[in-house]
Amino acid sequence: MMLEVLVAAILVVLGAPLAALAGLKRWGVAAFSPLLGAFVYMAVGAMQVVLYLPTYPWLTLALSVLVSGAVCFIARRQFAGAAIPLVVSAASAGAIAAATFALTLVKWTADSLIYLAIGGLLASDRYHDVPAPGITLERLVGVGLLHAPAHGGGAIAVMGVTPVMAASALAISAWMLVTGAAGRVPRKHLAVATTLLVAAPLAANRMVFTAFYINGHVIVGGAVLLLAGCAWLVAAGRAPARLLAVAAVAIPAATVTRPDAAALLAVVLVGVLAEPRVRPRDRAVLVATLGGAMFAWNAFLASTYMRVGLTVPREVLAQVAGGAVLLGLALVLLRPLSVLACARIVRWSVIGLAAATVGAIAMRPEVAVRSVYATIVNMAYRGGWAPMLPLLALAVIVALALFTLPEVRVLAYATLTFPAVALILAVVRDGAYRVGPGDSLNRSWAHIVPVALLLVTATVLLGRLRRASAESRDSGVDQQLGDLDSVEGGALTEVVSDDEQRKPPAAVD
Amino acid sequence: MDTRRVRAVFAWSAGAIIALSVVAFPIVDSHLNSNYRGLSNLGSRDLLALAAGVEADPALATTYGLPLAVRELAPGATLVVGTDDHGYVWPRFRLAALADLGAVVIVDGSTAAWADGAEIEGNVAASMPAAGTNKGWQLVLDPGGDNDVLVLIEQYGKLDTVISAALLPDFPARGVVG
Repeated sequence: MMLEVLVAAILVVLGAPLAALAGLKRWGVAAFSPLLGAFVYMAVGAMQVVLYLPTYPWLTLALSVLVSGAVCFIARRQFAGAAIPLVVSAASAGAIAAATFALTLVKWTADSLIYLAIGGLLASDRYHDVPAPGITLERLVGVGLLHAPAHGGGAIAVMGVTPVMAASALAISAWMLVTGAAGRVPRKHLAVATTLLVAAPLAANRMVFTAFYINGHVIVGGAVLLLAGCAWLVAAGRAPARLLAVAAVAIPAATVTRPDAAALLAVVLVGVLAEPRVRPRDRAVLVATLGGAMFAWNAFLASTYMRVGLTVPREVLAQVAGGAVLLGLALVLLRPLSVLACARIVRWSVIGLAAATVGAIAMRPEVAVRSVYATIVNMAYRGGWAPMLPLLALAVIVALALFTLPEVRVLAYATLTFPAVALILAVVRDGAYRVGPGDSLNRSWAHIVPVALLLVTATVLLGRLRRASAESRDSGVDQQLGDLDSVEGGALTEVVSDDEQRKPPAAVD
Repeated sequence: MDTRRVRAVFAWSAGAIIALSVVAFPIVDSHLNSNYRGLSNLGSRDLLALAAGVEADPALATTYGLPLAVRELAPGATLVVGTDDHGYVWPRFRLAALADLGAVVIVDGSTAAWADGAEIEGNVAASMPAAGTNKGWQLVLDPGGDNDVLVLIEQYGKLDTVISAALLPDFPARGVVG
């Protein structure tokens, strides 16, 4: 149990400097620290793997402490008021880890054992000796990295690490709603909305399962929430712009966790890039991080294939090239984007995604049909998501139809494009989704549900009814709430300067 | 429409959905197979038992026996893989992973769609009835037949696991099955 508690506390310690660097204060630091700490640890561990360095967990920890220590030095003046929340965060994480261990609150399937076996190889520095690149390609190292420290205590899994990350993600989503809505609605309304936002995943069978499941879904779901949620707050002017650059640490962690994570993050990032208030340098950091992570991981994969004399799969080569292209794109994105250009990014990406979806269906109609059928059956009853997921999908549609709130564009973009991305991935992997709780997409809904919940809650809580909004626009009172079409139609072409973008609220709790 | 009233409707609806989800929680559990249940059946004792080197039950023993048997195939041996989960389009890289074993991959002719891009050297359909079953986990040594080992898997996920496990150099990992 000591090891479990120690790992949980270490995650908080590793993540706190990054949270402070992002400009977070008090309870913001407390909520973000465990998840950010896990992402730092995984990013460092992944770097050891791709550079063929020894993969002992103590070395990963030492390097992570160095990274966080350096960040701590830079952000040393920004910890004001964070001491007590950090102690509470560490104590809560430790308590969750201890309870998880004492009550053996863990879920596992046969897949989990592969991840744990990879953790064993990493812990004993034998991962680079794996003769079968298929394992590296399909199972990656993210989950194994998180569980490798268990071997230091004679165990095979750090049972508490996934629940601690899930609890951190839940706290982050609540913090995001409070930060985004504070002072804009009555406290009572905000309290009710926050309670509902927290209660919804706690009541959903599959979300609870995911929170205790030895797999990578909490990692990818946490990364998507971090990127999309932080982008919302920056777009709304409710958080420091640099929060997004710090959230970029989630990208390498997710990229080395699931094979489909890079594609999902790329689509989410399109929505982030299209936010006019996101600073050019942050756009560049986000895209460069994704490009670098894709390039490094897939170059490592390619080297693994070549080492054992096998042909490098095309998807690996494609991702190496894609990573290089993104690195080049990051340089272009250092230039400011006009509001019009941002609107065009959304428009053209939606057109591109729609075309890709139609193309995927045309290429493999049988895969598409079987996937759609299996997904409907899984959502309805076989996958264990009912009643929450189908009703959440309905709530998203109704909320967006009734209310208008342009600042949540990035949340809406991530949520609404997810089904299309999932369908395209089914065709790319050449395998239809299937009926049953263990289906890949059925498990992957956990990647987007937290963002969808945040979208619905924020839209209903902060949005204006569309009819009322249209009437006020007619009266010329509410010009600033125009949606994307009005941005295009009005030909707003001003460039949001760096100075303007540097106007977050003074303190973000 | 009054904004406050619409918000109230949303809030009450959300509350109702949450209440419904709580009620559905154990019902969902009872309808899923044991691996995928929620907190009411964590299965953690199995994991701890495995960690302690105890084979918790025959099904688990088979789960770990199978990868070991597959891994012990001599390079060039014939590995026959069949499944009754017909129609699943097998991802190419999974078949490539099978080829990593040095085994010749033979796939049931009725599921030839799986074999996209992989080497096919025959049809296992004739062999499957000889195994006596095509349900669940079966490992049938077939010394008198054409195949060194016949593996029948109920669903693709399990085959995936077996193959993945077989490819790890020291699976089971230290502590997993003692």
